[in-house]
Amino acid sequence: MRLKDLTEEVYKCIRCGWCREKICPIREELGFESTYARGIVLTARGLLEKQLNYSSALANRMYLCLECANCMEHCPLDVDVVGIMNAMRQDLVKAGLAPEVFRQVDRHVESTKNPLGIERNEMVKWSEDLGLARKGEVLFFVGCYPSYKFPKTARATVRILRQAGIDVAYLAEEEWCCGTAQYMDGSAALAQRLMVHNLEKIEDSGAEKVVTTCAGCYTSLKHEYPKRIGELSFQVLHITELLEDLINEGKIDFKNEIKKRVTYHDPCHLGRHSGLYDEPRKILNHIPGLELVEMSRNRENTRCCGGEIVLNTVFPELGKRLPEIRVDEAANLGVKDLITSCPLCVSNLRIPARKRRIKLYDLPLLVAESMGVSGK
Amino acid sequence: MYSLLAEIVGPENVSREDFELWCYSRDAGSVFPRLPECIVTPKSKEQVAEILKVANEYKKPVIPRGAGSSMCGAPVPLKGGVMIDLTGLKRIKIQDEEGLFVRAEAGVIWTEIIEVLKQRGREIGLEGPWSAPSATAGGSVAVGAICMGAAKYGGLGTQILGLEVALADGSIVRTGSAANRNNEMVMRDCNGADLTGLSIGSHGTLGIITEVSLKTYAFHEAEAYYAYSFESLEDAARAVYGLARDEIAFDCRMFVYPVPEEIGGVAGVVYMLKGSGSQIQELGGKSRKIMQLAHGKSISEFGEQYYKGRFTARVKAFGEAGPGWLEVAGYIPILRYPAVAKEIIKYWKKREEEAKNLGIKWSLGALLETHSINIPVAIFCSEVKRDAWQRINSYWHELAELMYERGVSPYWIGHLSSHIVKRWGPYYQLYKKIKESLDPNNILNPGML
Repeated sequence: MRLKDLTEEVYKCIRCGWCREKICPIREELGFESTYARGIVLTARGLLEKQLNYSSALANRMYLCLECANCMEHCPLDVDVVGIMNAMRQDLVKAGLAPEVFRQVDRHVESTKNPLGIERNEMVKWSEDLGLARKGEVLFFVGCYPSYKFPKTARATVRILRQAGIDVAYLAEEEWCCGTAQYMDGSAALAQRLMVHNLEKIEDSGAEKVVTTCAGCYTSLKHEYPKRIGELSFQVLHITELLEDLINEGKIDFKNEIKKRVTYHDPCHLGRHSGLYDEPRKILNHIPGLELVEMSRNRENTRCCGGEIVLNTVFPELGKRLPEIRVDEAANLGVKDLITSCPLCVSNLRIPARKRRIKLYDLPLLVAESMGVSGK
Repeated sequence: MYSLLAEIVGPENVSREDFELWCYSRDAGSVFPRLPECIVTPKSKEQVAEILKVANEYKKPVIPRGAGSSMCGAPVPLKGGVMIDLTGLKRIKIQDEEGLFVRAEAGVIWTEIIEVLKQRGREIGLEGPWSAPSATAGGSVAVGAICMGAAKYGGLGTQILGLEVALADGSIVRTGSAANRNNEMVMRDCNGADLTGLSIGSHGTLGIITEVSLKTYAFHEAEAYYAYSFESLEDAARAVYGLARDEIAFDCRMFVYPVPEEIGGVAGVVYMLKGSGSQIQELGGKSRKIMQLAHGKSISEFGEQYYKGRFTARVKAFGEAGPGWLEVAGYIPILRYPAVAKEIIKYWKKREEEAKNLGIKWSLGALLETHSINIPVAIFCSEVKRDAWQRINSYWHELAELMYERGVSPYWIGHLSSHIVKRWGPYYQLYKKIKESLDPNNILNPGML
């Protein structure tokens, strides 16, 4: 959607500022009005009223937003800040003003079909010995991060599902990036191409259910695909939803006790964007021996752990600070283990977690450990 | 000058980007925006003082800003200049063990003060203004904001034990008992004249508030909510008067136009009690008698619905009616309310057709402050419609004039109120003299007075 189509949304804001204090992680660090929702919406208004023009400086500011949606969670008038932000970024892309790192990510996606720019032949290495089918009722949409960076999560997911009696299939090299990064960074046309491709391949696979471990892929498939390319012929599930169902059906056997006091970090895409707060907690509570304690900012109020690509390259100090703050919140609870259910969050949190000697788990790894299917 | 400011706060805390200036050009109200020339975001009172010294030397206007959630245009830079965003001053200081008073730096938000005190079994009497989740202590005091709980605790000024204020020349003054450097801000009535009061409601014209000391009270968990419908304004005003006279309500509001459908009648009164369980029971019984004597019809569900979402409800109402809005407000004795309200209704009746054609809406209500009543008249329209927008400005001026003539005393000053301010006569002259003495170069929020 273009900015002019969101005029009504822009003028909905009454500038109460409830989106400011202890809401926006970027604003907490940088302090200026333009760094958080009220300023973002007012900037959009300035552009619509032609009081402001797009510029490189404005682009750098607008690409700071993590789209964590905490502002929207606290907005009494439900202003679609993320929609407005995406529309402005589309304009910035069209004007050639998007920061170079985003253009580079787009080039990577164009050539390798993943934002990391890793060669295609690397994508299926994690699955070479697993003998996964290409067609089936339940399709595992693996995602770029598990495929290239966190293969253990991908393998654990397959083992869990097989143990529960699900003969899971995948798209292998035919799976392209889900398009999350592209629609968030304003490259709407590229996102559309990726989505159309993936949809066609998923439909060809005959899948009735598509499961993913990545919260970004989940939001994209579940919410953005239907919005942008039409109704889906299959059900989209996050691994936490599917696991909860399987537990309820008695198909998951947690054999091993895991005596740990852990805390859980809600990924923004899974929580605020999709409303999945209870499912991961229910799973953790089923693991014998595990004690779950909450950080002060949890569920709807969770503090975003940062956005690796943009922050680490364009604003490295910020890229370092945001995950550190989140890990500190966990450390202050005295826990030694931090669980999340998104590989993007794992990627953000892993360095500060290591520094604080906190073990970081993507949820399927912990489930696999308790089920006794780790490393098989 | 800008490089000097950058030296004080660090270059990363100064901005002259066009989009940043635009973001600081207005508050939550819809006063016509003006651009500052530069924004600075200090993190300490010392930095604020240094900024003032530089601005004073260059005779540059300085506009202090808290959350920017005021409706009166207090932080709108009428003459350009340096905008000081004070939200970086965010420490809360509780020095005595029980927290009988709390010191909050200018940028601390109300909800945070409330939360910190709650952990110690204390509370500030008031719950902050309509924008409490964002409004700052310094900003609210600077505009004399009327807060939730004013029926019991009165105006914000009554809760202040002392202030720390940075003056135009960069000196920092601590008022009340804290004028003695070996003492804390625990008592306002010390050292002769009440200089604390000079800054309350001053809209940043006399100095920049950097710290506020507030009274605290034992925390009260129990709350009760009531709503009544009345068939005449006189009955509703008598009911509100009864609550004030017998010191019953924590908060009390009146709806006159529009009266929510759930309440009906000519006017609605909602009020909230706070205290211990037994106190609530006793006050509830008393209040019901007052309402019955004034012929009120109980609509209890609405009271609960309104007060449980007390801040959200108001923002939603503004958002749905506007979201562009201006408000005229001021204080009068409670029993004079019906006469003034009827004049306001008459005013709108004459403009009903025109307002409707322009998509302009309005509302009239009342908020009880211990001994008086605040009459807010809000005028709403979409900010997209420029013709409507021009018209609501003229409505505002006409209403401000009408209300002032009928004895309503506004508590806001600023651009919109300039014609009213000058009618204060000797009071205005005195204010000007004080301003000239404290700020001879007129750098502090010029144009406000």
